[in-house]
Amino acid sequence: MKKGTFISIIALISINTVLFGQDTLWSVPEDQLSKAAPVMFTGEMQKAGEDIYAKNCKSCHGDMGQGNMAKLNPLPKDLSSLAVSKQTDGALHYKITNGRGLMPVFKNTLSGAQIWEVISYIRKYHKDYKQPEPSMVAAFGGKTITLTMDYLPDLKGFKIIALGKEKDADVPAEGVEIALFVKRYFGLLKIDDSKVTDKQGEVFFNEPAKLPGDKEGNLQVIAKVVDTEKYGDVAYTKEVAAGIPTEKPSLTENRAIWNVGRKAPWWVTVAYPLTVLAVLGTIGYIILLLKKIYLSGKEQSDNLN
Amino acid sequence: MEDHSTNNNNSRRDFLQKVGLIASGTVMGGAAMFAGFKFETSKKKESRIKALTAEHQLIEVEAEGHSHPVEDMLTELQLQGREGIPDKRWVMVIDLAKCRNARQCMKACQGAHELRPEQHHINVLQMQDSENTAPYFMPKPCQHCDNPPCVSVCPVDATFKRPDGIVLIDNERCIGCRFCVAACPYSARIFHWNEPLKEQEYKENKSKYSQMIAEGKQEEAKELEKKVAYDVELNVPQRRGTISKCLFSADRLRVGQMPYCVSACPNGVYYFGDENEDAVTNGTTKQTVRLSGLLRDNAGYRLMEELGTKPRVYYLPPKNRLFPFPEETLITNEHHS
Repeated sequence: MKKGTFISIIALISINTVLFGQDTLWSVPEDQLSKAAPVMFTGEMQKAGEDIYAKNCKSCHGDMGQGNMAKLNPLPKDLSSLAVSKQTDGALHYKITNGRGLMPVFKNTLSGAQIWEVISYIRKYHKDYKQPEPSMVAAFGGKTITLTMDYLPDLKGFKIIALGKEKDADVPAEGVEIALFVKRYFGLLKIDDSKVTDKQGEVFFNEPAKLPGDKEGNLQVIAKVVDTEKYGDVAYTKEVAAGIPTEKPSLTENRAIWNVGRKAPWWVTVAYPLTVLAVLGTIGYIILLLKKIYLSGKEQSDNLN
Repeated sequence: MEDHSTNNNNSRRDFLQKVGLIASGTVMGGAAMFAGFKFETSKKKESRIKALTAEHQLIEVEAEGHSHPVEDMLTELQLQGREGIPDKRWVMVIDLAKCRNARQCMKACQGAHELRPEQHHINVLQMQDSENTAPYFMPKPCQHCDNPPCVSVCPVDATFKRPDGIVLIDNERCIGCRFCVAACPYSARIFHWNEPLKEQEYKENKSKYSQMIAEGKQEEAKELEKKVAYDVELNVPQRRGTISKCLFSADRLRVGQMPYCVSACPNGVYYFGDENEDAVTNGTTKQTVRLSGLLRDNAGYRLMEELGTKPRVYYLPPKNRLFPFPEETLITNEHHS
């Protein structure tokens, strides 16, 4: 009996930790802990971070230092607190990127560069914070690269060219990881795995198979540089007719949802009264015939008499 | 004269008799029409008439300028709610393997639609299909059928199917007959037996609003109007004696956001998207995937396919559940509707 209670308590605790395992330590992988921002935080970054914070973080974490967090279990941390300021930039970046429990995953909604902007904004409220040396690799003299994309209908794919600036001249950017997306209503649909540019700074993606486009088959295709921390948010958007033209009828057409006269098709409106009239007419005709039979019978019996 | 009468085989007496009949008939008919006309005009001259306000109060108003009753007018919100969002076919995918009964979807839903804790637009059920199979959690919203039995039985066109696939209920039209509740095989509908949760607040807002209008504070009133005006895409304010149901958060879809339940889930259970785009986005990770691929790779299915209701909610089977199920007692003791 005792053993049973003990086991059930242990089981309950383990279930609790699995379901609401928020109180345990949020461990961050070693190599992520020491990760530093690619550049020194600037006022511009903090301003951009403030906007991102207002849109994505404020609804739960509240205003900085105001303590007006959303009443969730566990309570979201006030990000200006000491517990947060003691954490490394890498740890914060990892937690925002990957989320846990009620803390959403942001890797698909915010780019790496945007997450650094949010961190730069949060750091504004940490008095004793000193930013570590930036990890920026001086790619193309620290200047961003540009992307262009061509749709090649013959090859059924997209050619993307990445160019970097070197001494004011455009040179092909080799070794840049690029991902291709198609815009959908709630987010970006990734096409294929991301690929790395060759010596010419080029990369080729096959077009998505049988992906529905709009009425003309147009798709909004977006090429993005994956390593946003190194190159910043670099993207190129183009509308191309690479999809399947889609124009499906509305779901209220061709359906048996005729519960009221207004929604009924015209042929029902016409056919129903006509059917009723036909039935009533047939009954009337039969009665008429019966009357005739009766009358002729009466006449004959009168004649006989 | 004589010739005429004899030719037509009519006597003078016959002629006079007929004239007399016609004349008296005309006089009597005329008199009746005159009386009727007089009655009608006297009715119109009445200076005050009775009218029913939007707040369901019977009032007397000056007849002048009110001779035409308001026709079946829908508000802007109701119209937009009936039209839906063009070229869309909303679809939801629920991954049963990931649900661990966090109940955040239910909380978010009840908060948004101002429901009592025991009222559910979406409910997480504890399931066990047979004695020897593993139990699992199953979130169950309205299935938004393409062939909805609830809509076919509604006698007043209160519940309807939109072109984009959502089945909504207009609480302003609903007469509370509950035919739809009986018709729904998924038990997706709730009835407001009692006053809604925030009835007091609705009343206060309403009186504040009419006071503002009376005082001519148009701008302040406009701000409050959002709270007072009935939004058919949110079912708020809720109304006693009517039906409420899951709306796929039609108000959020309009602004490009995912439903309340979908974005509240911490475990990545829900996918939501547009079937026409063949893409659904996970509410937790915000990752977008191909709908056809997701259903094919995971053997997706719909509930009660044999009824021919054609739901717009797909389920992925509870394979490789990643969590232990609570004590058996939970399943045996809890009652599910």
